Amino acid sequence: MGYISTVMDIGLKALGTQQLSMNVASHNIANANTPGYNRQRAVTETTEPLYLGPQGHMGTGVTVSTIERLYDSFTTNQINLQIQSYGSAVAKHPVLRSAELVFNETAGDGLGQALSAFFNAWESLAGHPESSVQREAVLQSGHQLASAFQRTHDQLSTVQVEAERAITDTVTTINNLTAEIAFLNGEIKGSEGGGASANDFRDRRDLLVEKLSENIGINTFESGDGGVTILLAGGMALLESSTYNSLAAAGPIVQLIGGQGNVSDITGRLSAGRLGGLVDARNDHVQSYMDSVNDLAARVAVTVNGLHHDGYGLDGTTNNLFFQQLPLATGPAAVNTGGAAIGPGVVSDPPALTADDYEIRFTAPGSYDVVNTTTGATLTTGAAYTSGGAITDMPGLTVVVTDGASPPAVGDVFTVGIERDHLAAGLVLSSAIAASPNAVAAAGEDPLSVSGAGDNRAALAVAGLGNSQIMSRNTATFSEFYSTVLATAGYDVRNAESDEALFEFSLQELNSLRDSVSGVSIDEESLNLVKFQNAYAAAARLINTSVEMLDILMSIAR
Amino acid sequence: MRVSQNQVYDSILYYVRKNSYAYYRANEKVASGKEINRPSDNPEAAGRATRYRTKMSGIQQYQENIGQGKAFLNHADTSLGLAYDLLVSAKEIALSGANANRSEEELLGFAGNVSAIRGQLVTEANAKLNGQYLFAGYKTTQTPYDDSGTYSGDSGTVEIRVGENSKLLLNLPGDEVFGAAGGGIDIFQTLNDLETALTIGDTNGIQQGISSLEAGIDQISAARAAAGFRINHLENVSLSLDELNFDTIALLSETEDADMTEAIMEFSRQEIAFQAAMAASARLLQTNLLQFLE
Repeated sequence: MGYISTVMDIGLKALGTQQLSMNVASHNIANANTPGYNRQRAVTETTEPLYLGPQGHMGTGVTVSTIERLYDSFTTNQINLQIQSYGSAVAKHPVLRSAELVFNETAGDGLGQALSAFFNAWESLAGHPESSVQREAVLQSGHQLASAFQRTHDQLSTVQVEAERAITDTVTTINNLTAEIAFLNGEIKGSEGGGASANDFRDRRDLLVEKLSENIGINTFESGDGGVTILLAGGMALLESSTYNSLAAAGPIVQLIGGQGNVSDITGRLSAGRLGGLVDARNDHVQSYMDSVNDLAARVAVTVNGLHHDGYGLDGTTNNLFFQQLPLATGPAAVNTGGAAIGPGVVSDPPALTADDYEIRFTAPGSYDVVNTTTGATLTTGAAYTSGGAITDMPGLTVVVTDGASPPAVGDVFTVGIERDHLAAGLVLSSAIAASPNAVAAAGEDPLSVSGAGDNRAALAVAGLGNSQIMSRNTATFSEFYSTVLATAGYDVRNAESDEALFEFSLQELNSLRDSVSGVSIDEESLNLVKFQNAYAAAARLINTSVEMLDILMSIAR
Repeated sequence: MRVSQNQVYDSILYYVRKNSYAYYRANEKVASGKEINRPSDNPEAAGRATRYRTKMSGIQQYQENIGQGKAFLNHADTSLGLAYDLLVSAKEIALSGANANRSEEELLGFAGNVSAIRGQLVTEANAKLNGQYLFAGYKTTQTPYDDSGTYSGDSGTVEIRVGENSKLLLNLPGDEVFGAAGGGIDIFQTLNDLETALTIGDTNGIQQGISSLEAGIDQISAARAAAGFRINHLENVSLSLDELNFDTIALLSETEDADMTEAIMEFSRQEIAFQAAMAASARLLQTNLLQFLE
């Protein structure tokens, strides 16, 4: 048993449904290029059928059950993971690239060239030890070597400062993203509480989580109420529901500031994302080049000084250093429990000095061991300790350990060595040499009273350092060591570059996979519009027909 | 697989960017003529290139040392040659003096000649190059022999470096060449003694002088032989350094320089790939359903 009103009713519902579908298609087309947008679809279903009795059920039309978001959570999670590695490589790459430029020897005036020129000048002096021209040349090449070290140090240090700036900027970005995600968490919980889906809010939040992943390594999961929780590597919470913590950068150190204001250093735990990449490049890679350059400067200065100290100048002076004495660094280890303090230390014998680091370890009450921590060799075992007595077990060095409030406790350690930080920046010729070229020691014995101006033994010995294996525990010459540092810088850039290319490619693939599900296809939406338009026209026709049927019915009654 | 708008644009962007980077790098190689423009282009080769460069700079320095050493020794050889001639004529004079029939005047004349020869020999023993006395040991800035032939130099031996691990003894200290150091003959003393013997007509002394002069001539000859041997050695080292330098230059070039044919081929290949990507993308972007729906 049919009713005309039912036809009209179905037509009306169909009109509404097709229109809504068209709205959704328009929304899709409008957002075809919106970043993070997931296409939506009006899901239609038949309305509750009418039970007619023995004839069965009669359909009553169509309705939109929900507006669905076509969302691929698996691929999205994959992207969030992959983009952390991608962000790390992308951030690392330019930092390493600018560090690599410091070692570019193809241009012609790098540290490598300055090193060769320095030892060649000594070689020339060995040919003409009586010549003031060659002495001047040795001084000039010494100045040039010192300034090449300084330039290298300063350039690397600039790269580090730039990286620190980038770290600060990234931390700001991360804090802003976290705050926004926390806000959206609230919005989503609010709107979905009533059962509706908050598609556009979710799209926005997904995009922000993706951006956050690019900046820092995180783990995310969604709780039942629609809020998302974000944990940093190591399980520390960055964001829970609507409460969030923030990060702070202090130079190369990154801190997490907790809710109760407790600050924890998370620098070592950052491995992924832009922040992880920057911290890694700044604190590991560039710092290791810096350490190598400082080590090179230390060993060049110590070995040249040692031989120079033993030699004699044309003016008969001896015991002069070529480079100014490198400062020593001494200090108690952080673990020390005793009250003893260590003095600043003095270089007692420059020719015996090495550029190695040492530790004075108190192994029993009143006695200590001395260990060369560079080579691992134990120099002294169980030496008796007297407060204020000179400890002379390290070659060329003398330090004094003195009781303070209490004597050194067992297990206390004191470190002794050449101050490595910024060493390359502070390398200068000693004042005795800089003031007088004749003090440059070319002779093995006093040329005035013992040998003569033609004595070239010291010059020959210093020149020979250029070919001696002094670096890397006596396995590499200065220039071999330098070429290794240079190659390392090159390898680091290459790895970052290929990582970037690799992750970019897999990210591109994953994005394509996600867009295949979630992206808008204009062709498809155009087709949908045609489809819905036709359906709309047919529904309108339905209403028209039912009105005509009513008219016919009315005319019978007339 | 469903294809959405973003997929199309993203992949065009990705591949155009990738192709244009490869195109740019191929261009860089052709333009700079270098295979390695920064260490990361080939870190292992960049490290190697640095070592080659250090090696070449060392070789250049050794060649310079050798050049100077050769000049030193050639000069010493010339002086020693003259000294040899002087001693030979001194010996001839002594032989004439040894003849029993010589008058006192003749002998005095011979003594005067020997004295003159000694003077000339002092000049040769004081030979100098670029302000350096050749036969003075370490005391190269002070005149080693005074007029009487007394030595004020020392027996210092100067070495020069001619290779990474090889040094060569360069100088000939005066006390070895002209003096009695090392069990030799003091030539100036011999000439002094001969002059005295001739003056007083001491035949035994003259005979003694002749045999001493013969030993002195041998001593100078030995010094010349040493100089000659060292010059020869330096020349050989120099030749092998030249060869090494040549090889190193070739290795550096092989390591660092781009193979132009290959670089240009690569450039053209990248150009074609880039153009093809652009052309295909342009076609893809023009096609959509809207064009066909009226």
